Amino acid sequence: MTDTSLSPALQALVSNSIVLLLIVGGVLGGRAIRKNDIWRGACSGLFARRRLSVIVVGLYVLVALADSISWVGGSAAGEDQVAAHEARSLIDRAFAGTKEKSYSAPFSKTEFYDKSPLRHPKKHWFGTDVLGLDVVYVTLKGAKVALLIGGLTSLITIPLALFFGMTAGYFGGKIDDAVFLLVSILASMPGILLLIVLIMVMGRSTLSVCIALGITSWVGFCRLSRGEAMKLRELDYVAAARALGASHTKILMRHILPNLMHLVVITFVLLFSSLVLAEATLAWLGIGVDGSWGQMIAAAKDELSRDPIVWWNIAPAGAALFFLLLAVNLVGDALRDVLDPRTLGERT
Amino acid sequence: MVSYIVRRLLQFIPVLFLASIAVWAIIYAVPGSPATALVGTDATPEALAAAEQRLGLDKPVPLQYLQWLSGAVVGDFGDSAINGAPVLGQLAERIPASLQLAFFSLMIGLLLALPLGIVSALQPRSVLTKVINVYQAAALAIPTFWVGILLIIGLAVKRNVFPSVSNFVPLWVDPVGAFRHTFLPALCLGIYISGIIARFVSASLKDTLAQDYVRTARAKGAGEMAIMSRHVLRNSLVPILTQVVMAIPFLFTGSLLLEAGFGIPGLGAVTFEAIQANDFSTLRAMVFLGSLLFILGQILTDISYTLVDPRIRLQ
Repeated sequence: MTDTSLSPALQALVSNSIVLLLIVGGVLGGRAIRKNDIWRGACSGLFARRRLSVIVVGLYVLVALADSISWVGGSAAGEDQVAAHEARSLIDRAFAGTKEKSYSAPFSKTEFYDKSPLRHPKKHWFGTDVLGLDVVYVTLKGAKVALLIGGLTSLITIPLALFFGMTAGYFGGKIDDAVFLLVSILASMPGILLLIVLIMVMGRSTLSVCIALGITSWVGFCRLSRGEAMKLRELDYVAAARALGASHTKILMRHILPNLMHLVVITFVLLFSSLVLAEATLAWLGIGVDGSWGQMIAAAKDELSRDPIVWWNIAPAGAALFFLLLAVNLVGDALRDVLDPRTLGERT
Repeated sequence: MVSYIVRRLLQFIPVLFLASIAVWAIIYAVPGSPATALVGTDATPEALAAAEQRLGLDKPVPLQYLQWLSGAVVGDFGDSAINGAPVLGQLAERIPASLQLAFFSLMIGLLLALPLGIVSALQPRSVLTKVINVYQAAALAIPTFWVGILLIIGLAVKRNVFPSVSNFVPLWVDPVGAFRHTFLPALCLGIYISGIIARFVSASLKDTLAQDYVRTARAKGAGEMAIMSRHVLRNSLVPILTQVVMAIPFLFTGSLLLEAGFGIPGLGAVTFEAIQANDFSTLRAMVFLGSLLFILGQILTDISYTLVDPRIRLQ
């Protein structure tokens, strides 16, 4: 995750400003939601249905934020002197000095490998990985990576896809042809292969993985919103709006877009989970983002063939990935129910 | 209708042409040279130059593309850098294994998805639907290769119910063997796909059930079965069809990992080998043929749009 071209102090500054920006954005967004009846109703409906999932997603966000608040300095415990000059986050500091030399066993059991027992310092819940890093620590660090990949990429791709899909479906004709051509060319290349090739071209880094994921992921929703807009523009109320002299922009914003919002929500969820999953897949092939759970799983999979099975390196990463995506998917389902314009009248 | 199909088929040619340029250019931009891949990194400059000349790499870039295109049009994608055999023949050999995996996966996916989607749309407040919702969310939250690892350890290594390495057994030679060898990887992919399709089946059905004409049909006393088959299912077909068709290319290319994990000798395996060996001819052919498949899928989706929903007038 750390970009080596930035100085540690600058890294910390950038990271902290993003946290600040997110908090300010969250507060402002919260206020806006409180003022709007529909969104406030949707939020309370969401809490009523999926309290646990919302809390779980919130926890992941908190961990990611805690991993982003960082500063340089402070004493680095243990023999790790290099760390003293780097920007270290709250989580780095909480786990300072827990590094072992290599693998060690988890807290729960003591005996492994009858002849040469595995080191067991009795302070790592899930043992340590091959580099001697505490597995819990590495897993917590993965939260930021996952949210960055899923959140950032889908926040950029969804508006893009919606814009192109909606205008193409609504206007039809030449615009539709042009968008269809662009989408067809991009979409016609098989996703995972295009991803791999794009990353081969751009080189392996967090940014290039995000760009490659962005390029390959917006097309599906573009097609979906295009199909839906094609259906919506034939409906009577659109014809009525047009007869009343409403401009195309107004029809798109007032009559087409609101009817696509539930699809946006479903897609945000599907996209978020599919992006995080796609990154895990890339990591499995050896071209993922450093520090992601996919990379942990890929690194630890060979340990499974040992006897007794070394499960504690792969299980926390798999579980962290699974529970994040499960919670996000469940939240999205609930959001879909509460945001659907057709069910709004029934509830209130 | 007919003119629409003809128009789409005519559009297909420029799309394929532009896609072929994009495919060719992207792979051209990949660092590393096919000539180096052929003769090895420690070859003499003369050997490298000879290989470049033989592959046509000394010619101007547009000419190289045209050369490749003229070959591709007649199915000649060049020779594999791994063993020198023609690419197309090698890919053709691997298609049945992938096709069989894709077929089984789609069947498992649909068998799981359709009942789940229909139940959760018809009884949105039942306990069963809550379980189904968690299943859908879970199906999309587990990486397929992770399911693969669990299934291999649980069912193949520990219990020997299924073979841990899935050889390709053609369905028409030995149906039982084909089922045993394909079941585990197809289940991994099928579970994932069922999550996607079930979500859209139920979303689409619920949308339709909330429509006024369904209320009208109920009000005039039509039976639930008649409403379901005549009004609801038909009108829900558009998103469902889109999802199924959109899942087909995923079935082919997304099985790449599973094929590697389960040792299935399909297109995914050959692609994986090509990536690792910098075998540009095979990679290019694979992406290009994938594009061809996807474009055909898109045309099919659009045609099915108009068939199931006459409201979409595509003039």
